[in-house]
Formats: sequence, structure tokens, C-alpha cells
Amino acid sequence: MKKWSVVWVLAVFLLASLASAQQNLVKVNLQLKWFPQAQFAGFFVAKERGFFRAQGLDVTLLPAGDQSPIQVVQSGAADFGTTWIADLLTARERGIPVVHIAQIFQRSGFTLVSLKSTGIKDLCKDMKGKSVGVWPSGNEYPAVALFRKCGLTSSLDPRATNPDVTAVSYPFDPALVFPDKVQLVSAMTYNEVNQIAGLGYDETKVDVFKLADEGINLLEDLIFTTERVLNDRNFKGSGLTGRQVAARLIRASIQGWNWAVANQAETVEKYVLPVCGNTCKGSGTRADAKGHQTWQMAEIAKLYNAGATTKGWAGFLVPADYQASVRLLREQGILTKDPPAATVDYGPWEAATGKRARDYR
Amino acid sequence: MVAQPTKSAWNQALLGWVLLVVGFGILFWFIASWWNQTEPASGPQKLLIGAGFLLAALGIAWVANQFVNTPNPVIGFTPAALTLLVVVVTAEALLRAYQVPPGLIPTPSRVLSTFFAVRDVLLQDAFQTVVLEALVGYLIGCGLGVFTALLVSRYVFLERGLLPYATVFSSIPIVALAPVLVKMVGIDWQSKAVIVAITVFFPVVVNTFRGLSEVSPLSLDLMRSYAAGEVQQYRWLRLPNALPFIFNALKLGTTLAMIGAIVGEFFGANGQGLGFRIQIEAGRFGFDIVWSAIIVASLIGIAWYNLVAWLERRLTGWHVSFR
Repeated sequence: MKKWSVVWVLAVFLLASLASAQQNLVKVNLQLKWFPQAQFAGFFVAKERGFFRAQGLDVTLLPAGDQSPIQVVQSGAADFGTTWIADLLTARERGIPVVHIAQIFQRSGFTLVSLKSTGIKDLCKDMKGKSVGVWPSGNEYPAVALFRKCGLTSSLDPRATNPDVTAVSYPFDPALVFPDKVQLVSAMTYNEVNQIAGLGYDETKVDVFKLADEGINLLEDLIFTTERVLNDRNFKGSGLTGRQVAARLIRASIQGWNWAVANQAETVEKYVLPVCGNTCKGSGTRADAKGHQTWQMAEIAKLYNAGATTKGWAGFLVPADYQASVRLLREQGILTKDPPAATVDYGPWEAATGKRARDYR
Repeated sequence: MVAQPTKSAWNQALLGWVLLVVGFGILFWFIASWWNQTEPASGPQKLLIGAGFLLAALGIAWVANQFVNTPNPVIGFTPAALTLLVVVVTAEALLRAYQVPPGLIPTPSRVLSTFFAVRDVLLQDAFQTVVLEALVGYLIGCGLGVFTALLVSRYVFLERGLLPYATVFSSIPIVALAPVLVKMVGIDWQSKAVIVAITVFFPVVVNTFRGLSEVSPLSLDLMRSYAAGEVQQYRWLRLPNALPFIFNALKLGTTLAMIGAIVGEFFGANGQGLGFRIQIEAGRFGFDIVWSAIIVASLIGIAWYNLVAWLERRLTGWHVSFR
């Protein structure tokens, strides 16, 4: 009996010490916008190379299916998330208190792809009467903005009984609809463009219309959270405020992104391929998983290494870019009023980098 | 014997109406006063809403006694309609009191005004979802189901070899096949019709078979003693006997068909349909439109079910459950 009690005491002691070692790290859930792939390379690097841990964070990266990251973060199932600006601003207008805290990608990678044989040369002129493949869950806004800019109604508009453009929704894999059901299909420069090439339609057979070139340059992957998290005085009982946790998360993320973009081959090999599972390959791609992710990493690096990042201001939301996105969404009637000032909070980013937003030139 | 309304019962009903009016008065007054507010209401105001709800609910409880013996079904529905009204109005008041953002739960008044604004598109959506997908799939699935059941009840080897699978399949959630079928058949309405057909098929087979085979041996003996042939047995004994069973499956099928069509659209749609609308608008926090689409789907579902139930009463009026 006595011997056993010693064992018990030891076991309890061991468990307790393990638990306290865990407690030193603050548990944080970060909701990614999509399945694991090189699009989120910086976060994987920050986790696996211990950048998050060095900031005292134990970050769980949650993959997404086709649900909105905003819904997950709003419900509290995740503390932070990554999404696109139009999704964030429309949610904010609908009364959901989400806050933009860091801008990862400085450029838009959204494109529409069509077969050259369909004869679409000018999107605005030639899109009427066509079918366009879009992704639901807040990923359709760039396409909607384009339709509106061209003065076309679409079946995404619940007030248009006889729409000019039929928007076809499908579960993200372009092979489901392209090129049989739709003449134009949504494609990210870093993912679906290569998948479409994998379907046998390479650049000699398709036209890739970058929406940024059409004047639809909506900001994409950004980090956001809710006012509830930011204003938390004691984040999950850690003793840190929500803002401090946000600042640490941003600091480690930028560190991870800089490393990933500087060491792309190693990032893909060590940090992306082990986590991306069966989404690595991208459907319909002839290339293998490594080929697709290497290519994606290079494309992602172009979106990250642009604008403010090139001036050493990674993660910074350039006010002029933000205003341009807001103006575009207002002009196209996707937003009905300017978002409140609290929609963007530079505080955590400033704390993370030691820079001041107003010093940006 | 019908109970004569006594004087005290009349007084109770009168008091009920008064309570109802006071309760609704409080709720409506609060909604009106909070129409343009952006701040949450104070504690006492929330208590007031609770009081308004309780008064109105109590009022209904007392008023309802008045309708117990009402022969007219429309007037007899009054207490149920009042209940719905109380719940909706209280929800409106509470959502306004707590300032719940419309991106999470829109107020009923917002849903109604949106419903009115987008009704044309929702009707188009409903045509695609209900007529093309649910109805076509339903007719095919039910038709094939009855036909299969006829074969199974006639040939023992089918009963032994096929029926066990029908029984198993009728108890699994076939709608889980939706993403597979959409991928196989494509994103147009046909894939959803296939989902619906498969979903309604198995319950129809199982129920129809039971109806065809659970025939009273006495009746069968009688048919045989008249030297009735196989076809006559089916026409005059087995099929009539199966009708109540078939209609059970048909009524169940209306609900399954609506579920199958709407859920099927979540996995790909050609720019139309109630499921498409629900999915797109839920993703962009347009829950006023989502709720509008749900209202349309519910109304159609109820109407369809009742249509089948009405047919059932017409065709199986002789059955013991209706006599």
C-alpha cells in the first residue's frame, strides 16, 4: 500500500508539473482561410520553428472547409483568423464586431480564367450572358465587385430577377464546372490557375484576367480578431491582455512569413508538405504535391513581398490601400456606409513591430 | 355532450383578451420606442418585455378555452396563430433590446421587409428547387419505389435478395451522398433530382412492400375461392390494402425531397435555388434573406405535405383510421 501511494504522489506531481509547463504557454486558435497549403506557409513556419513558442504562445492552426472564418472567430471557436477584406468589411457592416489587425498579403491574387476559344477579350464587354464560377462563403465579392463595376447584374444579387451574368457556385474545384458549365471561372494566381493548367488548359489555351488589372484590387489574406478578444483584460486567464496576445501573434507570424519567403524550398519541404495532406496536390493537377506547393509558394511570395513589405513594413495595412478597398466596395454598393474607425486597429501591429502607423511614407 | 359556456368561463375569456391586449401593447410599445435605437435596453426594460410576454401568454391560455368546441377550423386556429404572433413579437422586442447584430439574427420585421423586397427572386429559386429538383425527383423516386415493391412482393427471390438492402438503405441518411452525386452528375438541377429520387425511393419500397404483403389471409382465401387471378388480387386486394402504407411513405417523402433538394444545392448549384441562396447569403451574413428562403421552403413543404395528406383522405377514406 505504502509503495503504491508513493507512486501515486509521484504521478500526480509529474502531471501537475506537466500541466504547469503547458500553462506557461497561452493557448491560441488561429483559423486559416482554407485547407493547409503554401498560402499559409508563414504560419506553419512560425509554429514549427518555434516562433510562436518564443512569444509564449501555443498556437493551433485550424484548417477551414468552405465555412467563413469570420463565423468561426465570431463564435469563439477560434481567437484569430485570416480572411479577405471584403468578407471582413461586410461582416462588420452586418454588426459583427471583427477587427483587422495585420495585413499579410499586399496584393490581390484573384483572377478569372476563360478559354481563349470562348472569345472573351474584354471582361466588361463580353461577360453579359455568360456563366461565371464563384466560390461561396464570402469569396465571391471580388467577382461581384467586377460585375457591378461593369454595370452587370448577377444571380448573386437577390434583387435581380433576370440577371446578366449567371454565377455558378461549386465546391472550389474548378474541374467541376470548367470549361463545360462556365465560360469564366474564379482562380487564385497561386492555386487554381495551376490546377486549370493541370486539367490540360495551359497558358496557350486560356486567358487569365487579373482582377487587380480591372481595377478590382481588394486586399486579401489578413489577420483579424474580434473586439471581445482585443479588449480582454486577461486572455484565457493568462495574465496577458488580448492586445498583448495579438501583438505577440503578429510578431511571430511576420517572423515566420519572412523566413518562409526567404527559404522557400526548405519551407515547402519541411513545413508545408508534412501538414497539407491530400490538399497539397490541388485537384486536377498533373504536377505532384511538391511541384504544386513549390509553385504556390513562389506565387504567394509575390503577394507577400509587395507594397509595404518591400519597405520593411510587413504586416502593415497601408491606409491608402485600405481606403481604396473601402471606396471600391462603397462604389459598387457592396458596402452601404463607411466602416467604423474601430474596424482597423493598428495597436497590436505597432506593439509587435515597434513602428508607428503614422510614420508610413 | 357539448359543455355550455358558463358565466365564469365568459369572464375568464374576457379577462384573457384583456391580458392579451395589455401584453401585446407592452411589447409593441417597446418595439416602437426602440425602433431607431442603437444601444441595448436597460435591465428594467428587458424585464418589461418579459412581463409583456407572460401577460400575453397567460391571455392566450385563457382565451384558448373559448375555442375548444369551435367547428370552423379557421377560427379554431386562432389560439395557435396568437401563439405564433406572441413568439415573433417577443423575439422582435428581445433582439432589439439586446441589439443583436443583423448579421447574426435579423429581427422578424427585417426578415419580412427583405422577404417582400426579394420575393421575385425567391420564387424563381423555389421553382428550380421545388418543381425541377424536388418534384421531379420525388415523382421518379416514388414511381420507381412502388414499381420495385410490386416486383419484390411478387417474386420471392427479390424479397430475399433485394429487400434487406432496401430496409437498410431506408434507415441511413442518404443525403450524405449529396456531395458525391453532385460531383458525379454535375451541378445542374438533375443532380439534385437524383439525390431526391434516391432519398425517397427506399422508404417507398419498404412501406409499399409491407402494405402489399400484410394482407389478411381470410381476404386472400376469399379471393382464391372466387378464382381471382394474380392481377385481380393485386387490383382489388393488395393495392388497396397497401394504400395507407404507401401514403405514409409519400408524406414522409415530401419532407425528404425538400431536404434533399436544398442540401444538394449546398454542394454546387447553377446560380439558382433556395439552397444556393441560403448558402451564398449565410456566407455573407445576409441572414434576413436566409430566413426569407427558409420561410418559402417551409410554406411549400407544408403545402405539399397537406396536398398528399388530402389525396390520402380522398383515396383511402374507407380506411379504419378515417372512419
